Amino acid sequence: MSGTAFGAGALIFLGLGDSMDAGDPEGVIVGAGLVGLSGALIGLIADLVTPRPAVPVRDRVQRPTLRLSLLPEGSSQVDRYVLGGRIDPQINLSPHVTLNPHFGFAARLGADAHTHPVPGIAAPPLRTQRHKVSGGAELAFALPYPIIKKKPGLAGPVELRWRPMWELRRRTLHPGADRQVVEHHALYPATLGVRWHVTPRQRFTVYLGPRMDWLGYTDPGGDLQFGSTPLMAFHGEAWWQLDVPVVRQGQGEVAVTSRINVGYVHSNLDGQRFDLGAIIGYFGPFEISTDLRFRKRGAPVALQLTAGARVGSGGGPFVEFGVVTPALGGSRG
Amino acid sequence: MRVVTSLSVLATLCLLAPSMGCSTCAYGDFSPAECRVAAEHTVAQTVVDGVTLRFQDPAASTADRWDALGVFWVEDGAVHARPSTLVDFAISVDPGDSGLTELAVVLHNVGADAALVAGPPGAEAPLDSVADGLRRDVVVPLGGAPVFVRGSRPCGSEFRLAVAGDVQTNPDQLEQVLLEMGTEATSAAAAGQPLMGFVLLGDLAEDPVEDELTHVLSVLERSPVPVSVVPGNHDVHGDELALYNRIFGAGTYAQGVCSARLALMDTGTGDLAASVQARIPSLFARPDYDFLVVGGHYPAWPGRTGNGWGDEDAAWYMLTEMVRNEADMYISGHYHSWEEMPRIAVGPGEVHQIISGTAGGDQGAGAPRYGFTRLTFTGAGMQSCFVDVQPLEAASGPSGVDIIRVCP
Repeated sequence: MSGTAFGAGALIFLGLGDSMDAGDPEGVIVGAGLVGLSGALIGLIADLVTPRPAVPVRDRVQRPTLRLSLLPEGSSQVDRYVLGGRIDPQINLSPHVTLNPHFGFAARLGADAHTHPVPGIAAPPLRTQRHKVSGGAELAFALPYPIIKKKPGLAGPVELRWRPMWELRRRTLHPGADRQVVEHHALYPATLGVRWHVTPRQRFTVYLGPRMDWLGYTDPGGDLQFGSTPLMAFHGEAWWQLDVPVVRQGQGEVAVTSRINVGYVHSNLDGQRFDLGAIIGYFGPFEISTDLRFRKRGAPVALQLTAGARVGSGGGPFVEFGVVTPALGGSRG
Repeated sequence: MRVVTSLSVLATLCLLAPSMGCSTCAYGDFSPAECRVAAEHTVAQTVVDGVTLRFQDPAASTADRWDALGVFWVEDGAVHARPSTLVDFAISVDPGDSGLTELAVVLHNVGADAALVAGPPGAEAPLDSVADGLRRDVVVPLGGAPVFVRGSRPCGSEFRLAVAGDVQTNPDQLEQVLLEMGTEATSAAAAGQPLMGFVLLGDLAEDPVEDELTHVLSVLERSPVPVSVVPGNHDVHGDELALYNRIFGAGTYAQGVCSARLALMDTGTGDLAASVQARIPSLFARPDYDFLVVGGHYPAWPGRTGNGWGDEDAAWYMLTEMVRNEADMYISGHYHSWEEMPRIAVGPGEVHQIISGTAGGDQGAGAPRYGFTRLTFTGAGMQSCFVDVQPLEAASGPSGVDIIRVCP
């Protein structure tokens, strides 16, 4: 499947070319295909070394309820990081349906004052600050086995996902004495996803959907001005995940589980992209990361540490520290 | 063992990640946009036999600073200068302690109708030259103080510009485009709307190698009108020698073209250098101009073409500044076709964008649509249309031109 996606995207990209109005989706098709191929390769190796029978990892790593992040900021900035926070509680609506409300924020650590690279050139410094706020939810619906065919050890369950999201990015610039603001609202009303539990310990998730952009600005020292007509873009993501039990429950006082993630995000909104020679601006960044979840025996709350890297121009390493609380609404089936 | 393995993965990620991020000019990589800003300033001044030559803003009268508005090089013992601008240029020549009384300079990319003057600021006198197409050979008289060499061309109330991008693997088609531009220059002059120049919006070569870029430069030297150029992604990716800037000069610069302000942006890596973003208010300022046209290789907004920026935030800022300064148009290449987006919504305003990646680059499986966009500036406003230049081997007109506003 991944190879087909990669091949189809590459064919559109290289074969048909611009005059066919190939369009944005080719990037996400190629990116998702690459993630799938990479994941399949790592997954194959992981599967070979997994003790039999392969069973799901208990207390597997998922999104933490609360987390603080230190993230790279993007290509137009120089060695800048943003501090982010996210709240993603999980609510089990039924044995087959979960809901994850989301709220997030990010802000630069200090203001950036960039000066001209050539001494002696009369050019104003650029001072900027950035803030980001996001909100939304993710609804996951696990397809019941009467709909999908149960194949233990091979194809596992499939989930359908709907993730409406809204993001606000505010950039405050001081190109002169006055303050200017550029504000961008991105609405993802119909981001639909499919998660396939490839094996008991591996998952592949793809999201696709439209992105609506509203752009506002101020005159120097003036009020924010917005229009009503959105620009339309395309958003996509692909994630491959592998669970790795590190210290099983019962083996020690603290159980440790791990997860390896390989992902692709088809977006250049935060100045991060994956360039390939002259192919610049087509692809968003790739992400590789690993999570470690620590849970004391019998404890309802676990700690989760994530480290990884956004791979590409404007990317870099990131770390996250999270707290995992019990899901609301009872346990999942 | 597994704990060690997991921590090893973490450590490896942390070690690898910095090398995946941005590099700096110090390592000789001119992919980062800010490094090209440094490079375009480096090539805009030179010292030859103790004489300092610097490109200047045409309004400048002192030689203590300089602007990235052209490129100098020395060839066969002679100083060569190529202004990046179409109409007016200025070069300061400071003899310093050289003791020289004159300096031979070969000027390139100068319109056949340009008047040249030289002398101390405010006391310039006509400068004799030997003309050959866009080339002028001059001898600049020197004194003890800096002198200025200035070029200017006559402007009417109506004029035209030709715009296209994307040559890449097909400079032969660029030659066809330039031949047609010669016809255009003749008919435009007859219509009282002289063609003031050609704006070539990047992707001059398939890769940033010297042979390809210098070949395109040699083709452009046969252009009937001066040429302003910006770099595209194919001209700068992975470049370790700043070849685009060393051969063509400036990548980001604003110039007056008669009653129009033409601001050209180096978007070669799908972003804008922070120092360029700082200059946008001055680059787009238009107090004395009736028109503002902004150009760059990447479309300011890609729409359904998918040929987007690597840093969308930079594009958002440029779009808002275009609306604030009431830009008449943003014109680009990158997408190998001709497409018009007349109403890109930005706040309460709109940006009119034309993509004209039609100078010769491979257009894929569809029928090729080569040519250039004609911008006509009159008292009634600015009009645009596409001048179709068919490949020599084309047996009939291309399909799909119905979506293109072809010039009558």
